[in-house]
Order: sequence, then C-alpha cells, then structure tokens
Amino acid sequence: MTAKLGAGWIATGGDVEGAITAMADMRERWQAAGRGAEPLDAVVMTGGAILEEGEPADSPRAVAQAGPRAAMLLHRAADAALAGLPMMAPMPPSMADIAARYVELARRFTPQGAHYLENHRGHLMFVKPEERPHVTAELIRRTTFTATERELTERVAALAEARYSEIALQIVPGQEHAIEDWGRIRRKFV
Amino acid sequence: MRFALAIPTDAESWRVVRRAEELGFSRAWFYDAQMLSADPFVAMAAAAVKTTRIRLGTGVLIPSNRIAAVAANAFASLNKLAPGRIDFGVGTGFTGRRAMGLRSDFMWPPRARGRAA
Repeated sequence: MTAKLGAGWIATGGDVEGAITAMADMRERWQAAGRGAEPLDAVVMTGGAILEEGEPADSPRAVAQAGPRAAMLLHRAADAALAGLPMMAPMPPSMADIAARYVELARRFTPQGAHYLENHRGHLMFVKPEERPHVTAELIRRTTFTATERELTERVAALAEARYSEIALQIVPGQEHAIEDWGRIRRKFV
Repeated sequence: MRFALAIPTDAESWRVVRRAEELGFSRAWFYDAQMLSADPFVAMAAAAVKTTRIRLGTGVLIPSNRIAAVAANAFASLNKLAPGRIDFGVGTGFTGRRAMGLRSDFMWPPRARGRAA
C-alpha cells in the first residue's frame, strides 16, 4: 500500500540485516508500482542502548533502555501460541527456546482467557519482573540496537547506505536521559 | 541521515521532545496504544506549543480504533498549532489492538472478515 500510494514508509526492526532485506523488498514494490524514479522516504523505527566499553548487553542500564523492545519478541510469541496470531516475522532459531519458556510463563497469566492483558503490560515501556529472566543479553543483542557507540555508528551508517532516510529511536519512560547518548551519535551524521 | 525519537506517549512527552529538538533531532513519533499509553493527539498538542522546529507524527495511528473524520479533525487542529510540522503515521494497530485482545484487520482471513462484517 505504501508503494501504491507513494507514501513514506516506517519499518520496524532491531538488526541491520533485517532492515536491509526489508528495504530490498520495499524497493521492489516501489519499482513495481511505477515509482522507480521517485524518492522513498524510509524510516526505520528501533531502539536500544549505547554500551560503555565492556558493559554487558544485559546490564541494569541496558535492560532498562533496550529490554522493553527486546521483550516484543516474547510478547509476539505468546500471542502466537495462546491466541493463534501470526508472528509477523520469523522467530530466530537461536531465540526459539527462550521464547518457548516465556510462552509457558504466559500460559499462567491471569485472568485466564485474557492472557493478553498481562502479556502486554509494560509493552515497550518496562520489563516485567517475571519476564526479566527471559530478557537475556543475547535477546537484547539480536533484537535491538544495543552495542558500543562505535558499533552503533557503523550500524546507522549501514542503514544510510541502504537508503534509509531516518532512524527513529525509542526512548523508554524513565530513561529520557538516553536522548543525550543518541544525540552524540546523531552529531556524527550532520 | 535524520535522527528521530519514538515515544511511548505520555501527556508530558513534550519535555523529551523539546530536548530532542535542542539536540538537533528531526522528528518525534508518538505511539498510539489506548491500553498502554496516553493519547497521542493530546501529547502532540502540548509538544506543538512547546517546540518550534521538530516534526511531530503519530507512530503509528490505529485506524480501526478511530473514526476517520475525527482523526482528520485532530490532525488539522494540530497543524494549526504547528503548521507544516505534523505527520500522519498510520499502521495496522498491531500492538495496540493485541493489548486489547483484538486482531488487527489485516490479520483476518477473508472468510472470517466476511463473517465479521
């Protein structure tokens, strides 16, 4: 529909490879709609945390800033298992076990028959205490922009190379100071 | 490459939006998720009067939870507060509707959609 209307496009993603694949697919649709010569205003919406050298991806600060976005994969897995909803994106094989364990936790959410209430509590805002063990360093690394400043600068440059025009970074409630960190990276692209 | 921020909407989101503007960010996207966060039009209106340059957009509006004419009126009102700085981002309502135990329209198989209609 984006290509048909000639609209701007907002993609969501947590890794550069997936964003590049999504862009290739959109470019194909853009061309097919006869818009090959027209510019595409493409936004990638993501989030994460800028790590200090040696800081683990599941440090308390990283979990607070990037954990809510990483938990999206778990919430979607529970929606798929408990409500029969599609995943929207393939489950990375390396994340399947941890997602399955979260689904087992979600089966016990109350009220029974309305798992979605507890499943989505805090969605994109905070990590629920009971889901914290499932929000691992690996999950955060694979599903968010969480890395050192140098690596994140390289990732943003790769997105620009793939012809994304904007990166939108989620700021988690209570972590508004993170905007200062992202502002440092922004200045490298002026 | 433009930099923007995406916000789980709060009535006081204008505070971080104003700081983002000072840091040179180009746009702020406000989530629309009725069970999870504040109303984006209210928060965007506050941000509109507290900022001067940064663009403000719904990121993204849930069409199935809104009456089109009412939403258009809200965007027009925002545009009067921040002329040319308002963006209409729209999606399927993926998270917002799931948090209410509802499906997004695009997920409905055609046959099921027909029955629902």
